[in-house]
Amino acid sequence: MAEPLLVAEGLSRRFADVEAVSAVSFTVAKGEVVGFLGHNGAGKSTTQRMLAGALAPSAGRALVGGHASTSLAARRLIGWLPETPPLHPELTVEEQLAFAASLRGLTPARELPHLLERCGLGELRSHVNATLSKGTKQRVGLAQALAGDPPVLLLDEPTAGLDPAQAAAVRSLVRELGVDHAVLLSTHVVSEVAAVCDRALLLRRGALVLDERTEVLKGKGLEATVLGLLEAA
Amino acid sequence: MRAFSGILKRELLATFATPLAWVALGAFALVTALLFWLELLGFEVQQQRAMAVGDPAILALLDFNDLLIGSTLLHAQVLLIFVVPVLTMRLIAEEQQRGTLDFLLAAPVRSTVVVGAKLVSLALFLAVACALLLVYPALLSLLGRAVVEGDGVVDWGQALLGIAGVFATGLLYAALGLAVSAGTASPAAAALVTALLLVGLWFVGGAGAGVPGAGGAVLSWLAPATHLERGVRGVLALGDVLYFVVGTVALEAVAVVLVESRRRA
Repeated sequence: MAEPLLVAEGLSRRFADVEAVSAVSFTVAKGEVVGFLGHNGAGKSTTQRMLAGALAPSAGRALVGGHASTSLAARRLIGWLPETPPLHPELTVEEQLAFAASLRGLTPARELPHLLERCGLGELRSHVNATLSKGTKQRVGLAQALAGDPPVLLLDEPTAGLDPAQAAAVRSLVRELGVDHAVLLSTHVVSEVAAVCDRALLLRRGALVLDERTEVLKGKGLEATVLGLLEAA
Repeated sequence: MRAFSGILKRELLATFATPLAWVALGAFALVTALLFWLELLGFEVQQQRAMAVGDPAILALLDFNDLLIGSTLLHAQVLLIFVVPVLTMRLIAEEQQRGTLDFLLAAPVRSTVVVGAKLVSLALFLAVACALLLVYPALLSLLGRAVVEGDGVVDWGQALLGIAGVFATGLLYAALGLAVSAGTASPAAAALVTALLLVGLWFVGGAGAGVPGAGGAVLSWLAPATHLERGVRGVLALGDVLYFVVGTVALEAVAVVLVESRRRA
């Protein structure tokens, strides 16, 4: 197994009196797609925010390529699609992606054709974000995350709001990216984990209750195992 | 540098692609024009009274560089107290509200670059607003007639220094608005708090004039209008320049600290 690019070590986050994430530890290596399962409010998005460097942990460490996730060096290695795609409603798709590319120090003109093509946004390039469907916004958010081809991808429910064909295309893209990237994929959909991921993590009330290879889980009955753990007291 | 220009471009698109900036600019231009016209009417009345007395010494005191252009520039500064919060409220508070601030925090960009680019976008807006103020000395230069021989010439150095002073005052207000915007997720709250703080600073200057001793001097010194007044009278003082530069940089630093603190919120 390759060296882990993404490391969570005893990662915790407290908001006032609520511990949203509690001492979570896992790694994701290059060439791995890791599914991140859990109910709404289980702490998946908070964990991703910490790994992306947008939120400092209350305790523990989040490392990206060996650097603290809030450092500039770590942020250069991360591509992040948050739960709600961070789009500016007044921009067109093209302007939005040019903005995302410029944030990474890239030349927008060089980066744009590749991003538009990879996420099937070519025909929508001049559409204003405010007018896009939820699924298209999701694809623009994904394209932003891919700007500069960062080696670590944090994808928070990338198929939410997509129609079945679009969802299948995104899953195929994630699978393809997983060959030479470290991908952490948050999802509610157990079958998505079975189809796309090499490993599954399960968060329950902020704590990690499962870290297992998908092949092993499939042998035990993936859905039954996950549902059993989610519903356990 | 690309990140800076990318953020700046987005800010300018967001500012000028929506009616907000145009309405603010239009209102600023309209109200300034109205105030200039009122000042002009007042000036003419004073001039006629002075001419009735027929004393050239009194007429010479009616310097329209001070009385017309200077007063208009001081009014313009007061208008910025209400225009600037409308523009600064959305800069960071709206990013927090939309969830796009997280994306900026996760991008490989320093917070100083984020805040700096946003401040420069406001500086460009203020530069446009201040360029509109050039109309008044230009009008007087073209249409004004000398009442006293050798008088009636617009002092362009004084006018430009005054306009630069209005720009510096606006930029200081913008830096304050940016810092307030970084401290809240509500654009409306950011606008209200910024406007209240700026009105407070305006009143501080007035209060300072009524307070004797060192206390009054300190209050007057705190008010941006005190430093601007010398500029519109054509006096370039190092202390005033430092007041605006240090004040703007310090408030920008506060905004950077507040943006960084969002990671711990």
